[in-house]
Amino acid sequence: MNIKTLDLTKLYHVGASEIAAIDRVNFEVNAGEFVAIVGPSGSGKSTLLNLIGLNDYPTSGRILIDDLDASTLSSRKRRRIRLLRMGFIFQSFNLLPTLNSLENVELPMSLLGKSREEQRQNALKLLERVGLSHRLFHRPKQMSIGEMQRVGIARALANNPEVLIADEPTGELDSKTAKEIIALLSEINESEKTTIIVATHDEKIVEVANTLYFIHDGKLKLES
Amino acid sequence: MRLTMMCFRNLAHKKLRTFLCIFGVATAVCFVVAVGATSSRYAAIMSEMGVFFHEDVVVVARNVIVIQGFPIGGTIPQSVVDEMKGLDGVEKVVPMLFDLEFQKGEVSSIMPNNITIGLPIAEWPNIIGSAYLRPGGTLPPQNSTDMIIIGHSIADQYGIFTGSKILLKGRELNVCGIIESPFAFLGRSIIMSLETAQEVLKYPMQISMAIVEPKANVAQEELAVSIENKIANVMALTENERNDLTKPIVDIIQNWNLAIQGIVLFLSMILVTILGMINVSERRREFATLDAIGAPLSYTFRIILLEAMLVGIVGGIIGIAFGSVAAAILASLYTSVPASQFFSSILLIVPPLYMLELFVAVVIMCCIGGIIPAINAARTRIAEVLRAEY
Repeated sequence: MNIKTLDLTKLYHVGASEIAAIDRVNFEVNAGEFVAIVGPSGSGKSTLLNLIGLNDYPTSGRILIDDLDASTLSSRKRRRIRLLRMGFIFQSFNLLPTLNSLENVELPMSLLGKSREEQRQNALKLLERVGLSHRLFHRPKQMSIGEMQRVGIARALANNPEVLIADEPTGELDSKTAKEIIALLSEINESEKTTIIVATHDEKIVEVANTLYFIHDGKLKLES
Repeated sequence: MRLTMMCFRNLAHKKLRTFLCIFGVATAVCFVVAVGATSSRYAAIMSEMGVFFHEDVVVVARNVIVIQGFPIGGTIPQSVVDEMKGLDGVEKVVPMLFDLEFQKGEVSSIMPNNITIGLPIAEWPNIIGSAYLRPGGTLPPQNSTDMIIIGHSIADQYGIFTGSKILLKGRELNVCGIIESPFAFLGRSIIMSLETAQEVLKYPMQISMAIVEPKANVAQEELAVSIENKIANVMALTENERNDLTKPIVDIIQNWNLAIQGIVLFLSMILVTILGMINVSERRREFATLDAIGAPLSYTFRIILLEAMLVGIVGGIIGIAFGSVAAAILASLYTSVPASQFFSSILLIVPPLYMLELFVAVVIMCCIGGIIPAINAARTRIAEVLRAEY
């Protein structure tokens, strides 16, 4: 999946003033790339990921996904793209608390209408891949934060997405667990050629990324 | 199935809140069943009394209260019967004396403890109608003075069988039959000859009412007017007039019943809405996550609606079960009949169709209560929610 933004802008109104969270960003990610977006808190990282991930509408500018202008798509079509072609990894995992690991991973597949058998087989494979085959029936509350993030990654991979969008995936993890998660993301990128876009503070992610962007006050700059 | 399981778990996740909500719905349903079934039953009893003498004119003392042809108090001299027999257009006149015996709370006891009915033995089959006597029971000979038949409810309550002797107001009487009838009125009746009733109830040569059968070509209205014109201090009521006297009472009972049910169910709907709103506001991140991973709006909508429906189903089942027990206890309190007798015929007090209607109504109300929270959940703006967490 190729993602391209053209003069992407997102304005927020705070009282009478207008704040540009994203300011005329031109950005391109090619299939199979591992892109890291680095910047201080409040610089616009999450806003940019929400726009690229079709979770939000830009104030102006365009988002092209494989040359299709996604910035004007209906919310139904955007949802469909997210379900079929994108996977999301969140800083605080956002696992559904009443579902166990297996069910959390099966959820995106069930939304796609896959058979119970297929869901179960794929979920088992994915959880094995992230090293959690011994925690299949544990609920989020019964797992460590590292394990929760692994389940989050397995869930993001459930529908075999072309792009993984991760917002501070190591933000809440200790350094050892963070290292394992980074290694896992890197391995997914290399083995599956899955495009990965990560917003992070973590220097270790920066080290494994192919492309690095720096964002400050909503303006994006290519670092390398 | 998976969604249902997920919703069950979501509800179980907030045990106390869910318990309180289900408790509220169940209490509301319990109240509706108890009050509704009790009042509906009394309305039904009043209506079923209308089945008797439906093609006849009922003559009672002037200015007494009459419920479906049965006067409450007031007597007329038995001599009136002979006067009426001499009128044109009269086919037959049946004198009748009865006494409604209230033991508990008098005014509050809508259903009397027992009803003593005295009428000529030849006319007993007309009162019994389609009911039958339990095996071994027979109607007494015409000239009998100490034979009676009693309703099954009294018989069961006091352990009376065909052949038993009972003492009624100091007079020993022989039970020659037990009536088995779905009518509450007959179930609590003690039927004896008119003379015996006059002696036992101490109304010599008095009757409560006379049932006048018009000749084939005579209209009830015409005969009633003729009776009232020619016989002093009596009131002759046609079938329509009797219905008109009772209908407003039955209508009031039923309308109040309906209004109370509506209000109570509406309040339980509000309760479900509040629970849903609280749940949605606490689970915004969950709904935003579902949206982010591509779940259709209808999926989120269904989760909340299904949760509301489950509250309705569980609350409805519990409420109907407890409400049925409460209805039997209430019926017992108001009639002096032991609750155990009502438990055995609980489906008569709370008919299955009524249970089903109420259950469906509760579930629908709960689903309606879930609509606003469901819309709120489906409207969750993911970017706002997910941005707020960082």
